[in-house]
Amino acid sequence: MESTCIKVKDITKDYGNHKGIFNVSFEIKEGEVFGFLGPNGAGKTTTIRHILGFSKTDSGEVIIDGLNTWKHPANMDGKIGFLPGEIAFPEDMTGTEYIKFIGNLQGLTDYTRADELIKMFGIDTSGKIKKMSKGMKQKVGIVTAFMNKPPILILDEPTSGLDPLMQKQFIALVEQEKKRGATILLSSHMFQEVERTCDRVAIIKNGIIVSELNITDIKHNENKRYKIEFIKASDYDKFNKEDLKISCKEADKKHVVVNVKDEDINEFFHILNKYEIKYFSEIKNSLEDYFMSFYGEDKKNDK
Amino acid sequence: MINKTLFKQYWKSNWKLLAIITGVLVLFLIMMIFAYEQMLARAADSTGPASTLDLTSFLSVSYLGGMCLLLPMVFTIVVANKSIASKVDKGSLGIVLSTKTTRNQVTFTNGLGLILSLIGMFAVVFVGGVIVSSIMSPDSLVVLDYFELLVGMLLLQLALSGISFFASCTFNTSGRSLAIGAGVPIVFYVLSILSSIDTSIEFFKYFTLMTLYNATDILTLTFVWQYLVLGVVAVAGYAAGIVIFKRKDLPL
Repeated sequence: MESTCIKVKDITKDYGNHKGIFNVSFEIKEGEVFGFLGPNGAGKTTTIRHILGFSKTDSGEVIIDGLNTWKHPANMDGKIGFLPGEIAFPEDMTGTEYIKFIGNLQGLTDYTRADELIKMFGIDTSGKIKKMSKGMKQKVGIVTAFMNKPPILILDEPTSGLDPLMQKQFIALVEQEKKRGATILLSSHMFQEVERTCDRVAIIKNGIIVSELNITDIKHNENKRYKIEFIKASDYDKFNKEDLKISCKEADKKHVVVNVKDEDINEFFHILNKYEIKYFSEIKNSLEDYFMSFYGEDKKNDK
Repeated sequence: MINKTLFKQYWKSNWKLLAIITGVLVLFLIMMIFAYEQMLARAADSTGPASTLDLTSFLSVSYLGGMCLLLPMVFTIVVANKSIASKVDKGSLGIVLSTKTTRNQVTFTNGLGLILSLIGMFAVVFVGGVIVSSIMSPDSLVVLDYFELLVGMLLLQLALSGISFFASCTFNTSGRSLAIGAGVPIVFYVLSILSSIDTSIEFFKYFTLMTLYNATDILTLTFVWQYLVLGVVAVAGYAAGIVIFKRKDLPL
């Protein structure tokens, strides 16, 4: 049995003006990578503050390993690795000094992992942090969050400021940590990294969790969508009369989008055989589409 | 409650300012003793009556009421804000508080650092005054009186630092922390100056902590309750700061 590691139980923090988080609940199991998706200002960081015990809830509570995080923050037991969304360091320290400083606070004695991480992300730690670029600071933050191999990692938009190559490295790092058995909360607005690394995802909108789902449900959805373009208009018309679930039509472009279940795929190909097709492609169900289904409405309404 | 690593960091980030302010304080002290000697020499040259002012009283007016009041205040204002509020404002405390470090460790350690800095500063001024006067103006300093004056001033500084520390723990931005943590001590200072200018506004002295440091009272040994009040303000400031910081929401 997997035990529940982080329980966010119906927490509310009302900052007024509809700002804050409202009745947010989710659970992260031990060893699970949990994605927390939402645009800026949706309430991701606020939720994280409560998980870390930086803020007191108006109602509800966050429990980590059986303890209320406001009364007994989990960091006290050295359980937390934290990468804040807006990274800030004490001024006038070099990267090396800072890593040592945080290491001392963590009670870290073995810096092999830190050295591995420094190599992995190609960090030059000799310079003053004040003079480092945003990306470099982010990498230093990654080192301090991961170097003491904490059982729980709280990562708030961890890849912001990283170039695509380093984002890939980061995804590899999360995969390593997952193998080690770490429980990870990864807040993000980047679908790709969430899709690649997370087991489950919660989507937050205006401080409310609007959906919680397994990533596998999206990746291995049995309902697939295919887009077809015909060469002849007559084919297009004839195809529309077939017994298929056509979800989208564009007569002028001779486009159709068909929904097909995996079990019906052979029958679908038999039908397709009868037509002259210009092209055929699967429309990948992505987290982004799913996400947009929650956020897209707003944009339309705004217009 | 005290965190060794944070304690080291406190000294690492503040020793320069402490050294500069202490150095300037000692420099002014030397200048004041020199000025006193000059004054004595001039008085001896002239035919008028010799000055009855002893060095201790001279210092209590010219030095303790001036630089020795203002410079430690500057140190306190800067360091108190830097120790807590600025770290919350900038966000660097977030990672620190995700390690085994607790909020109480942050406040206790930085508070202790600030208190020890002020004690160290005044210890140097005391020892410096004794040594310099014994060289430049032998036998003119009443060491016990000088010591009592400095203890009084140190207590006043600790009370002011309690206010600044309290502000730093209470507010989440440097701006607000400084508004109170620097504003209140400065207003106190201005009021104390105003109250001494004209008798019509002398009542201002009831609105400033500086009144509790009264050199004449100290030298006539009638200062116990003032010291007590200063001590209470200091303890209350630090204690309230620690309690508030423990309980408040941190925007980290």
